[in-house]
Amino acid sequence: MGEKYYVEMKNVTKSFGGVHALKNVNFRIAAGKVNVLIGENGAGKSTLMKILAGAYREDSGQILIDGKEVQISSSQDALEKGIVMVYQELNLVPGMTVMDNMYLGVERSRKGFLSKKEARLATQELLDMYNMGICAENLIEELNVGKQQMIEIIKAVSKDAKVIIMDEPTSSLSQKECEELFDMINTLTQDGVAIVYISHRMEEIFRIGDYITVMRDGEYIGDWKVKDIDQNFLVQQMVGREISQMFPKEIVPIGDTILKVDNITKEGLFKNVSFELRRGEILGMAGLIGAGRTEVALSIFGRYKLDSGDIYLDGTKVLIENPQRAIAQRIAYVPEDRKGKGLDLNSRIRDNISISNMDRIGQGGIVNTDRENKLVEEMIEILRIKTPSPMQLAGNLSGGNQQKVVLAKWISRDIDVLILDEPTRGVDVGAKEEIHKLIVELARKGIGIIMISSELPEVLGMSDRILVMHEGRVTGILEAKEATQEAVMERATAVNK
Amino acid sequence: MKKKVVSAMLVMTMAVSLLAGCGTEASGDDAGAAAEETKEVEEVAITGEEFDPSEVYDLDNSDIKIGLTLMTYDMQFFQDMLAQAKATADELGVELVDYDGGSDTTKQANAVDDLVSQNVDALFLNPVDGDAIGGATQEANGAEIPVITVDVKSSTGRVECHVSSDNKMIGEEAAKAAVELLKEKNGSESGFIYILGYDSISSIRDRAEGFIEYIEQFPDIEYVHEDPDTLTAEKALEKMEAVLQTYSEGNVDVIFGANETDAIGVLSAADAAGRKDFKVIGVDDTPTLNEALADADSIYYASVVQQPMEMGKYGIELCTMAAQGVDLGATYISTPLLTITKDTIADYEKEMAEKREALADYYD
Amino acid sequence: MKNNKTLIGKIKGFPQLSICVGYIVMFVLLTVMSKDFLTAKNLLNVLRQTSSTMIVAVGMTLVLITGGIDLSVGSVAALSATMSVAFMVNYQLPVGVSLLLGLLIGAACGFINGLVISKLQLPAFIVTLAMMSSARGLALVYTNGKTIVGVPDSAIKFGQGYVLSVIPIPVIVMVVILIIAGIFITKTVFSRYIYAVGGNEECAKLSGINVNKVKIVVYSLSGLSAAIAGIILTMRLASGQPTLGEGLEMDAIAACVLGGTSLSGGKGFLFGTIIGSIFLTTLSNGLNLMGVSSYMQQVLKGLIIIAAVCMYERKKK
Repeated sequence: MGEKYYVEMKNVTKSFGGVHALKNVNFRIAAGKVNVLIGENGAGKSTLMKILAGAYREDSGQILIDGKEVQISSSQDALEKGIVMVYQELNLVPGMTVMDNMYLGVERSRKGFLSKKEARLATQELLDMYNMGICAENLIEELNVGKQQMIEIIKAVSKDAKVIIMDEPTSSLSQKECEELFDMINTLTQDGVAIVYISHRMEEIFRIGDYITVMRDGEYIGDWKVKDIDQNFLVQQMVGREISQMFPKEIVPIGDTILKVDNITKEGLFKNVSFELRRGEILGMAGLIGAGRTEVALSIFGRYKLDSGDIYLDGTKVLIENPQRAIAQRIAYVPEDRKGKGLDLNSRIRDNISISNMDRIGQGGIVNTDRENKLVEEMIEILRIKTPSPMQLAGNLSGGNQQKVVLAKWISRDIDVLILDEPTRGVDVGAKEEIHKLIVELARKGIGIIMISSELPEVLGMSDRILVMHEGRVTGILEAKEATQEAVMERATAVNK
Repeated sequence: MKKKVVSAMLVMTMAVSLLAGCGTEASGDDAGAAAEETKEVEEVAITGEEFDPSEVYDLDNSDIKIGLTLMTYDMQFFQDMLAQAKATADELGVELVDYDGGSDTTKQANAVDDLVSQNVDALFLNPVDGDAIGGATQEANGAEIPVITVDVKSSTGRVECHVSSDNKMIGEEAAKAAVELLKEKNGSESGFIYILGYDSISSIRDRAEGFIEYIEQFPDIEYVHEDPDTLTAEKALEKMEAVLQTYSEGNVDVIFGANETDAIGVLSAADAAGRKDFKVIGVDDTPTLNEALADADSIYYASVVQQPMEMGKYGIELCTMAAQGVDLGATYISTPLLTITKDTIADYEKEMAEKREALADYYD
Repeated sequence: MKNNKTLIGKIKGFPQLSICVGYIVMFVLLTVMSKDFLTAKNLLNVLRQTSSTMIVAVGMTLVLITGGIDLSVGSVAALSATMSVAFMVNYQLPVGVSLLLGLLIGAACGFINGLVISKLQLPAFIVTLAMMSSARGLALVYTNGKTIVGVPDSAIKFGQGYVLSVIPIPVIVMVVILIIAGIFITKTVFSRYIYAVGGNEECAKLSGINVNKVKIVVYSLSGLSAAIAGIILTMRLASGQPTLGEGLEMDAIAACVLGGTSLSGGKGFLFGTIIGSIFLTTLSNGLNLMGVSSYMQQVLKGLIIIAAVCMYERKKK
């Protein structure tokens, strides 16, 4: 673009334990402009910004501020260089006042010590400058989320920030609060502050964005002036990869409807969700993080209570009040966070697998160790779980093997509906293929499968139909044959509202 | 599997040692059988002056072992008793094994168990609770170990002798002092007295009873009797803070604290609230109270003191006598009391200091 | 990576190894240093003295495995036992019935704990602390702070009686409970659920376990074990003592911790608790025989607990 950039990141690479998060990424930030950074889940946006804000160190690459190369060693260091990141989890102390929060931990700022009076005046000045309409003495907890967020931003300003990075700032704001935020951003850019704006909301991007950089799979795709492009182009850039032939898309006979979800709603999580699932079918659930897919799944599994709507199994209406009832109704759920929810890392593989199968292993309340060992050995073989023994602690296994253990809990059961939540996240390629093959086998047995996945190629490759959600609502149900990555992405980001 | 092997080993270790010791123990430990004799320990009552243990000093007591357990080691009273007991034991040439009851009935019961299994020749017993200690007393009975109780009685079981102040007498003496105060202040035997006691310990309960019995003779004296949650300085203080709120300035004439902890609690609360409108009478010789007595400004008026050292001495002497086979005849020995006031405190302190100095080696 | 298969490897990997060795060393030292230690009478005393703490510690082990804690056991022991005696003495109910009612009261207190902790989702520390205060309060209110005397002989036997003239009945009760607990913990489905809830509660829920039920049962068992211990202690003292069992919860927790049970849940060793409990009681007994003051004993106890925890934490790494 030929203009002078305030911050330039060149050829930045970062890996976490052998997995590439960023590969030779370039990112340029212009002062006094809103620089949008966009990409799918896992594209690497947060990682890149965390490096800039000092939370991570890059493995290789350069960072230049005002033409000079710098090393950013910590967030304190980044702060001193004028770079501040406003996180989604706010860094404010609810019980303290605005001015106290403002000067938290800044005992030795470049301005030196301020008296309480001076601090209050300085804070109030800033608050008024941005038309906040509140007092420096107000307690943080008295203010709504929108205002709190803006105070975080003002805090950054008070520290002489030249670059303010905002990560999905509008995700918890109301319409009115968004407007107030945009006003503030406007004021900031007019003062020469560079804003980095990470978001996937098309409307906002095109409203306030000046420049936009697209990332995909940890790589830099390109940057453009916002006024030079349109939404469709953007979506294409975000997704445009070859649909790999990785997925064993075999034909499996599809039977009758086994699960029908009718207008289910849970306040604040999802609204009026309806769909049907047939025997032998793989229904992919696509959408961005926060779209509500896991919440829908957990409600079907009985972990959450529905506010309204009905669920039908094999034509009969059922009330699923808790996971035990769901299991009794032959529904199984494989959680997305295997370390947090799927496994007991302190326990052995054997115990993890057998715990959800006690109805078949137990005899009059006593554990039949023969049955248990038989089941566990069977599962280890079928899933090809790599372990010296079933008595190995689950916490010691690799990600792929851990995921297999979680699967092992459920697939030996006689079930009608299987819900898989991100079944191959963080799993190596080899295990991934095995798991995919397994899923198809299960479908072949006549089980109806819901597969939640944030990986578009996986969704497109494995599903018979794809259900897309956006902010709690179903925005589309597509036949896999007609679906393209763009089509799914559009519905996931609710482009053509 | 590993666990089973090791646990088997441990069980065997204990089993082997049990067998090893088995031969030496008689099986007369059926506590159930021997138990039920309760000798009423009031057949003969004598005062300390009348008690004459001099014979036992001439005997060879060198292979006598006496077991001793006190309610607690936390108060000056018991520390004095213990020091004198140790001194007397030395004088007599007997071995003394002592266990702290820790104000815990279970702990003390365990302590008696241990002493019995060590085959002591006599037991000097100052119970945490007279009822709870019954089982332990009976254990000792079963093992044919003579029991001498001090300060608090055991409600069941056979006891050779009991030594204590007459607690009711303590209450009475304190009441006498209280009535004198009322006469001075109000011109007649009338007024309001608050009593802080502790019913869970029988000696303190008796003092409150003795006090009340005396003042009930006077129809114009009103009183209230209450206890703190537990017998600790903090709880007594807490209780008194609330009490002083209830009986505000001018509404109470005398407060009686039935033991040293109670009395200290009363004084602390009065200090904190800045109250000087009443006087306090307490029990027992302890530095805090003595200081208060010596202080002309303080509202502390008098202490009824016991002679824990005498109790310790008599207790050991009696134990030795019992161990030597003397029939004690279920005697009750009452030790003398003394009421000290602001006038007499100086002399008293001097005397006690000399006594404690003499026992300096025996204090912990 | 240790080779788990060799004998040495297995011994080294044995979690309670250090405490077992420590116990044997202590045992030998005490035998040498005090002539009264290694006698049948003394050792049986130790066993008897450990029985009540051991019984409570068994219940506490289950609670700790679920990641909870039960601070109310001392007070529940007092309440159950006091009421048991009250039924016998004040209401003249038969001994068997009175004891049963006492046990029910203990289990009920535990049930309430479990109910509030699971349904109202309040922290176990706070809930059982509240029960600790209330249960003891109830006992004190009922008895007006005084002990109840007049326990019938047939009941006293439970605390003071012997089997075969040598083995104290409380020890028999303790052994029976240990056997039952051992079978329960190693063989039943329910015990697996207890470990699952402690290991990862959300995972347990998603595995179809009724987590609330597990917690309620576990706390009820703890209350029941407290009641049993309280009754045994009371029968020994032949009177209803509302002040009974102060500090019992701390002793039980100490025993569990010494045995390797983690306060953060998911890990518990019945065997460890047994060793831990016997260790503490033997230590007390030995120190008493050597004339060490009880104040010093408290300090030593504290040091040993810290040392044990450090040891277990280091083993994890």
